[in-house]
Amino acid sequence: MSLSAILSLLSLVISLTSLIVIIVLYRKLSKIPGIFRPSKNVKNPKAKRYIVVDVLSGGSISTDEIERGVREAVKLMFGQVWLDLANPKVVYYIDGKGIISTNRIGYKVVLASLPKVPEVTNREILVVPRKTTGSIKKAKRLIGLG
Amino acid sequence: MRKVIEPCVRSPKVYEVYRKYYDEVLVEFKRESVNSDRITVTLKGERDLTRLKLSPKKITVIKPMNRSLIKKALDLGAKIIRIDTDNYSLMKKGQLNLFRQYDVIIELPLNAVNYLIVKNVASWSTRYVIDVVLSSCSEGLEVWHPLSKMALLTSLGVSEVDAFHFVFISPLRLLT
Repeated sequence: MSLSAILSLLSLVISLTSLIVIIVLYRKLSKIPGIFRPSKNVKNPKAKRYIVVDVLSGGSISTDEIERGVREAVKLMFGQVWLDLANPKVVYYIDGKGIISTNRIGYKVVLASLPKVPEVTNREILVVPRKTTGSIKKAKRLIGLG
Repeated sequence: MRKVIEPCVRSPKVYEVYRKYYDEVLVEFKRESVNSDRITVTLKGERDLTRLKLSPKKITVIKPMNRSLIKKALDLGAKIIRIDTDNYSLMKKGQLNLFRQYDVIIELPLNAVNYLIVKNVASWSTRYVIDVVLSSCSEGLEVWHPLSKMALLTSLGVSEVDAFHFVFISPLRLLT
């Protein structure tokens, strides 16, 4: 074998090896956030927020009534603009405990409006916040839904 | 563990609900032959001032309706001043300097105050008043959880540090 053949074979082997190393490294590093993809903690305003609440009422109450009350309270305190931005919805309600889904932009607005729910519904309904969480799974666990 | 205190409840209906969410609730109504923990005195004239009696056993909150009465009440030993829509216009720079001098606690009743007043009074904390207390003073069905108070303050533009101080730290001064 001539020297040039040996050299070209060697360079081929080196380039193939370096290609394999790059591919393996890329796959390993891309699993670490912040290097090749954005960190999960980057502020994503569309990120969901779930507010776990206690609902205290004199009689029986439906999910729709609670949701209507919360939406009216947000509208009363902060206006239609914030109602659309926050878009609160009651996703679960069971045995006096409920979960209100909203987003990162509007969850503080919803929290601040909850004391006004009895005023807008003209019924004896109290919606008291307990905790805010970013995952529905944790929120369900907090109200005992597993 | 730091206590969480609700500075004012006026309705016996919601008292039990507040007891669930707060470690200590200061009431302004009579319950079960026990006297209330606090009293609010409105000062309209000199006569009200002469009748003012500050007792160490009860928390007295002063609501001055006249600028000249503020200094006189502070000289008598009053420490807590209530500001709402009725008397907010009386508070000028002179009165704020008095608050700083006498280390006054400002009380803002959430049922009787405009949210612009809450925002403005919270901004006084940088220079004039260290402790601002947000009390619900609910006479009907209204329950202000500490999370709701903090959310209200931060949505009005108050920093989270100040909001935390007003909701959790300032009410502790009422008990001392």
